[in-house]
Amino acid sequence: MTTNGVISEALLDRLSAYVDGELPPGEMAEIEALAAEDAGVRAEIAALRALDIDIAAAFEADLADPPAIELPEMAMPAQPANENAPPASWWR
Amino acid sequence: MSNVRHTIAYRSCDSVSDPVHWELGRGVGPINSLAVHVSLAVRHTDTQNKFRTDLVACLPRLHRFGLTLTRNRADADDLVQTVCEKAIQNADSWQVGTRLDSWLFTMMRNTWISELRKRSVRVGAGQEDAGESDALNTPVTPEDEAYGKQLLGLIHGLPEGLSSVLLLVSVEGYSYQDAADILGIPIGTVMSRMSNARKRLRAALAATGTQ
Repeated sequence: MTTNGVISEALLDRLSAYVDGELPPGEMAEIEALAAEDAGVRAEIAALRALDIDIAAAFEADLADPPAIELPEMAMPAQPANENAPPASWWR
Repeated sequence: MSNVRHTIAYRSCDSVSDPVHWELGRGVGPINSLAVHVSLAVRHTDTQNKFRTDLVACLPRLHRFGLTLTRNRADADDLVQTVCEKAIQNADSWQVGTRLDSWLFTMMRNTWISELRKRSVRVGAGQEDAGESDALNTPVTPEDEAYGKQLLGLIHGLPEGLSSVLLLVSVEGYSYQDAADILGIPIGTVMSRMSNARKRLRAALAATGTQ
Protein backbone atom coordinates (compact mmCIF):
# COMPACT_ATOMS: atom_id res chain seq x y z
CA MET A 1 0.00 0.00 0.00
CA THR A 2 1.32 3.42 -0.89
CA THR A 3 -0.14 6.86 -0.42
CA ASN A 4 0.03 7.84 -4.10
CA GLY A 5 1.29 11.21 -3.01
CA VAL A 6 -1.73 11.96 -0.81
CA ILE A 7 -1.13 11.80 2.92
CA SER A 8 -4.36 11.74 4.90
CA GLU A 9 -4.88 13.69 8.12
CA ALA A 10 -5.12 10.39 9.96
CA LEU A 11 -1.78 9.24 8.59
CA LEU A 12 -0.23 12.60 9.49
CA ASP A 13 -1.39 12.07 13.09
CA ARG A 14 0.21 8.64 13.11
CA LEU A 15 3.44 10.00 11.62
CA SER A 16 3.54 12.64 14.34
CA ALA A 17 3.30 9.95 17.01
CA TYR A 18 5.79 7.86 15.02
CA VAL A 19 8.53 10.50 15.10
CA ASP A 20 7.96 10.78 18.86
CA GLY A 21 8.36 7.00 19.15
CA GLU A 22 4.91 6.81 20.73
CA LEU A 23 3.09 4.33 18.50
CA PRO A 24 2.64 0.75 19.72
CA PRO A 25 5.47 -1.48 18.41
CA GLY A 26 3.29 -3.06 15.72
CA GLU A 27 2.26 0.32 14.36
CA MET A 28 5.84 1.59 14.45
CA ALA A 29 6.76 -1.33 12.21
CA GLU A 30 3.80 -0.59 9.91
CA ILE A 31 4.98 2.97 9.41
CA GLU A 32 8.50 1.80 8.75
CA ALA A 33 7.24 -0.63 6.13
CA LEU A 34 5.15 2.11 4.56
CA ALA A 35 8.09 4.52 4.55
CA ALA A 36 10.30 1.91 2.91
CA GLU A 37 8.08 1.84 -0.16
CA ASP A 38 6.67 5.36 -0.23
CA ALA A 39 8.87 8.39 -0.85
CA GLY A 40 6.04 10.73 0.16
CA VAL A 41 5.88 9.17 3.62
CA ARG A 42 9.67 9.37 3.94
CA ALA A 43 9.53 13.05 3.03
CA GLU A 44 6.82 13.69 5.63
CA ILE A 45 8.82 11.97 8.34
CA ALA A 46 11.92 13.95 7.37
CA ALA A 47 9.92 17.19 7.43
CA LEU A 48 8.51 16.42 10.87
CA ARG A 49 11.99 15.65 12.21
CA ALA A 50 13.41 18.81 10.68
CA LEU A 51 10.60 20.81 12.22
CA ASP A 52 11.39 19.36 15.64
CA ILE A 53 15.00 20.46 15.34
CA ASP A 54 13.84 23.96 14.39
CA ILE A 55 11.34 24.02 17.26
CA ALA A 56 14.03 23.09 19.77
CA ALA A 57 16.35 25.76 18.37
CA ALA A 58 13.60 28.39 18.43
CA PHE A 59 12.68 27.57 22.03
CA GLU A 60 16.29 28.19 23.09
CA ALA A 61 15.57 31.91 22.87
CA ASP A 62 13.08 31.63 25.74
CA LEU A 63 15.85 30.46 28.05
CA ALA A 64 17.66 33.74 27.64
CA ASP A 65 16.22 36.05 30.26
CA PRO A 66 14.60 34.33 33.22
CA PRO A 67 13.32 36.77 35.82
CA ALA A 68 15.31 37.59 38.92
CA ILE A 69 13.85 35.45 41.69
CA GLU A 70 13.88 36.11 45.41
CA LEU A 71 14.38 32.71 46.98
CA PRO A 72 13.02 32.57 50.51
CA GLU A 73 14.99 30.81 53.21
CA MET A 74 14.07 27.21 53.79
CA ALA A 75 12.36 27.08 57.13
CA MET A 76 12.25 23.31 57.36
CA PRO A 77 14.78 20.63 56.53
CA ALA A 78 14.56 19.65 52.88
CA GLN A 79 14.31 15.97 53.75
CA PRO A 80 13.25 15.11 57.27
CA ALA A 81 15.62 12.37 58.21
CA ASN A 82 13.79 9.29 59.31
CA GLU A 83 16.62 7.62 61.11
CA ASN A 84 14.59 4.49 61.80
CA ALA A 85 13.87 3.80 58.15
CA PRO A 86 15.77 0.89 56.69
CA PRO A 87 18.55 2.25 54.48
CA ALA A 88 17.41 0.12 51.54
CA SER A 89 14.22 2.14 51.11
CA TRP A 90 15.57 5.67 50.98
CA TRP A 91 14.79 6.15 47.29
CA ARG A 92 11.07 5.38 47.55
CA MET B 1 18.22 20.30 23.44
CA SER B 2 18.44 21.07 27.09
CA ASN B 3 17.05 17.97 28.59
CA VAL B 4 18.81 18.13 31.92
CA ARG B 5 18.19 15.39 34.39
CA HIS B 6 18.71 16.26 38.01
CA THR B 7 19.51 13.25 40.03
CA ILE B 8 20.26 13.81 43.62
CA ALA B 9 21.36 10.94 45.76
CA TYR B 10 22.79 12.68 48.75
CA ARG B 11 21.59 9.96 51.09
CA SER B 12 23.65 7.31 49.43
CA CYS B 13 26.55 8.22 51.68
CA ASP B 14 24.51 8.37 54.88
CA SER B 15 25.39 4.96 56.14
CA VAL B 16 29.03 5.98 56.13
CA SER B 17 28.91 9.61 57.15
CA ASP B 18 25.83 9.73 59.33
CA PRO B 19 27.06 9.71 62.92
CA VAL B 20 23.77 8.25 64.16
CA HIS B 21 24.12 5.10 62.11
CA TRP B 22 27.83 5.05 62.59
CA GLU B 23 27.63 5.18 66.34
CA LEU B 24 24.69 2.82 66.62
CA GLY B 25 26.28 0.44 64.21
CA ARG B 26 29.37 0.20 66.37
CA GLY B 27 27.43 0.03 69.59
CA VAL B 28 29.34 2.93 71.04
CA GLY B 29 26.59 3.62 73.53
CA PRO B 30 24.70 6.79 74.45
CA ILE B 31 24.80 9.29 71.67
CA ASN B 32 25.73 12.83 72.42
CA SER B 33 22.41 14.33 71.40
CA LEU B 34 23.83 17.80 70.89
CA ALA B 35 26.53 16.50 68.55
CA VAL B 36 23.96 14.49 66.61
CA HIS B 37 21.68 17.49 66.39
CA VAL B 38 24.47 19.65 65.08
CA SER B 39 25.63 17.11 62.53
CA LEU B 40 22.08 16.56 61.26
CA ALA B 41 21.62 20.31 61.00
CA VAL B 42 24.77 20.56 58.93
CA ARG B 43 23.58 17.81 56.65
CA HIS B 44 20.21 19.44 56.25
CA THR B 45 21.90 22.69 55.37
CA ASP B 46 23.89 20.88 52.70
CA THR B 47 20.69 19.31 51.42
CA GLN B 48 18.96 22.66 51.38
CA ASN B 49 21.83 24.22 49.52
CA LYS B 50 21.78 21.41 47.00
CA PHE B 51 18.05 21.78 46.57
CA ARG B 52 18.35 25.53 46.09
CA THR B 53 21.21 25.15 43.64
CA ASP B 54 19.25 22.63 41.59
CA LEU B 55 16.17 24.81 41.75
CA VAL B 56 18.10 27.81 40.47
CA ALA B 57 19.57 25.68 37.67
CA CYS B 58 16.00 24.83 36.60
CA LEU B 59 14.85 28.47 36.52
CA PRO B 60 15.42 29.22 32.81
CA ARG B 61 13.57 26.07 31.76
CA LEU B 62 10.87 26.65 34.36
CA HIS B 63 10.38 30.18 33.04
CA ARG B 64 10.23 28.91 29.47
CA PHE B 65 7.55 26.40 30.46
CA GLY B 66 5.72 29.23 32.24
CA LEU B 67 5.71 31.24 29.02
CA THR B 68 3.93 28.39 27.23
CA LEU B 69 1.34 28.12 30.00
CA THR B 70 0.62 31.80 30.52
CA ARG B 71 1.59 33.06 27.05
CA ASN B 72 2.39 36.29 28.77
CA ARG B 73 5.74 37.40 30.12
CA ALA B 74 4.51 39.23 33.20
CA ASP B 75 2.39 36.26 34.29
CA ALA B 76 5.24 33.86 33.56
CA ASP B 77 7.61 35.93 35.71
CA ASP B 78 5.14 35.96 38.60
CA LEU B 79 4.46 32.27 38.17
CA VAL B 80 8.15 31.38 38.43
CA GLN B 81 8.43 33.40 41.64
CA THR B 82 5.37 31.71 43.14
CA VAL B 83 6.54 28.24 42.17
CA CYS B 84 9.99 28.85 43.65
CA GLU B 85 8.42 29.89 46.95
CA LYS B 86 6.14 26.86 46.93
CA ALA B 87 9.00 24.55 46.00
CA ILE B 88 11.05 25.73 48.94
CA GLN B 89 8.08 25.54 51.31
CA ASN B 90 7.25 22.04 50.11
CA ALA B 91 10.78 20.77 49.61
CA ASP B 92 9.91 17.96 52.05
CA SER B 93 7.44 16.46 49.63
CA TRP B 94 9.90 16.17 46.77
CA GLN B 95 11.06 12.57 46.52
CA VAL B 96 14.82 12.36 46.44
CA GLY B 97 15.95 10.48 43.37
CA THR B 98 13.04 11.65 41.21
CA ARG B 99 13.38 14.42 38.67
CA LEU B 100 13.23 17.85 40.26
CA ASP B 101 12.36 19.49 36.93
CA SER B 102 9.28 17.29 36.47
CA TRP B 103 8.17 18.05 40.01
CA LEU B 104 8.58 21.78 39.38
CA PHE B 105 6.78 21.63 36.02
CA THR B 106 3.84 19.84 37.63
CA MET B 107 3.77 22.35 40.48
CA MET B 108 3.85 25.19 37.97
CA ARG B 109 0.97 23.75 35.97
CA ASN B 110 -1.13 23.28 39.12
CA THR B 111 -0.29 26.77 40.34
CA TRP B 112 -1.28 28.29 37.02
CA ILE B 113 -4.60 26.39 36.94
CA SER B 114 -5.50 27.65 40.41
CA GLU B 115 -4.43 31.17 39.46
CA LEU B 116 -6.77 31.04 36.46
CA ARG B 117 -9.59 29.82 38.72
CA LYS B 118 -8.96 32.68 41.14
CA ARG B 119 -9.07 35.16 38.30
CA SER B 120 -12.29 33.82 36.88
CA VAL B 121 -13.89 34.06 40.33
CA ARG B 122 -12.57 37.60 40.75
CA VAL B 123 -13.64 38.82 37.35
CA GLY B 124 -16.72 36.67 37.00
CA ALA B 125 -18.06 34.64 34.13
CA GLY B 126 -17.22 35.81 30.67
CA GLN B 127 -13.60 36.35 31.63
CA GLU B 128 -11.50 36.66 28.55
CA ASP B 129 -9.51 33.58 27.76
CA ALA B 130 -6.11 34.00 29.37
CA GLY B 131 -4.27 33.38 26.18
CA GLU B 132 -6.14 35.72 23.91
CA SER B 133 -4.92 39.18 24.67
CA ASP B 134 -1.26 39.09 25.53
CA ALA B 135 1.84 40.37 23.90
CA LEU B 136 3.29 36.97 23.07
CA ASN B 137 0.27 36.05 21.02
CA THR B 138 1.50 38.05 18.08
CA PRO B 139 0.83 37.57 14.39
CA VAL B 140 3.51 36.24 12.07
CA THR B 141 6.67 38.27 12.39
CA PRO B 142 7.94 40.30 9.45
CA GLU B 143 9.94 38.50 6.81
CA ASP B 144 13.21 40.18 7.68
CA GLU B 145 13.24 38.63 11.13
CA ALA B 146 15.28 35.56 11.84
CA TYR B 147 13.62 32.25 11.13
CA GLY B 148 13.92 31.03 14.71
CA LYS B 149 12.29 34.16 16.02
CA GLN B 150 9.51 33.81 13.50
CA LEU B 151 8.99 30.18 14.44
CA LEU B 152 8.95 31.02 18.15
CA GLY B 153 6.35 33.69 17.44
CA LEU B 154 4.24 31.11 15.64
CA ILE B 155 4.64 28.65 18.51
CA HIS B 156 3.49 31.23 21.04
CA GLY B 157 0.61 32.10 18.76
CA LEU B 158 -0.70 28.53 18.71
CA PRO B 159 -4.09 27.95 20.33
CA GLU B 160 -3.91 27.57 24.09
CA GLY B 161 -2.52 24.27 25.33
CA LEU B 162 -0.50 23.36 22.24
CA SER B 163 2.82 25.06 22.92
CA SER B 164 3.21 23.58 26.40
CA VAL B 165 2.73 20.05 25.01
CA LEU B 166 5.15 20.82 22.18
CA LEU B 167 7.78 22.09 24.60
CA LEU B 168 7.53 19.13 26.96
CA VAL B 169 7.63 16.47 24.22
CA SER B 170 9.74 17.93 21.40
CA VAL B 171 12.19 19.96 23.46
CA GLU B 172 12.22 18.63 27.02
CA GLY B 173 12.03 15.06 25.76
CA TYR B 174 9.14 13.84 27.91
CA SER B 175 7.14 10.81 26.85
CA TYR B 176 3.47 11.38 26.05
CA GLN B 177 2.55 9.78 29.37
CA ASP B 178 4.91 11.97 31.39
CA ALA B 179 3.76 15.11 29.58
CA ALA B 180 0.15 14.08 30.23
CA ASP B 181 0.92 13.66 33.93
CA ILE B 182 2.61 17.06 34.18
CA LEU B 183 -0.22 18.82 32.37
CA GLY B 184 -3.06 16.83 33.91
CA ILE B 185 -4.52 15.84 30.55
CA PRO B 186 -5.19 12.44 28.93
CA ILE B 187 -2.38 10.85 26.91
CA GLY B 188 -4.61 10.88 23.82
CA THR B 189 -4.87 14.65 24.14
CA VAL B 190 -1.08 14.91 24.19
CA MET B 191 -0.95 12.85 21.01
CA SER B 192 -3.56 14.92 19.18
CA ARG B 193 -2.10 18.23 20.36
CA MET B 194 1.35 17.24 19.13
CA SER B 195 0.00 16.47 15.69
CA ASN B 196 -2.22 19.55 15.70
CA ALA B 197 0.67 21.82 16.71
CA ARG B 198 2.91 20.41 13.97
CA LYS B 199 0.23 20.73 11.29
CA ARG B 200 -0.44 24.32 12.26
CA LEU B 201 3.22 25.28 12.38
CA ARG B 202 3.93 23.71 9.01
CA ALA B 203 0.90 25.38 7.47
CA ALA B 204 1.91 28.74 8.93
CA LEU B 205 5.50 28.35 7.74
CA ALA B 206 4.28 27.33 4.30
CA ALA B 207 2.00 30.37 4.22
CA THR B 208 4.94 32.65 4.96
CA GLY B 209 7.04 30.90 2.33
CA THR B 210 9.58 29.75 4.87
CA GLN B 211 9.09 26.03 4.44
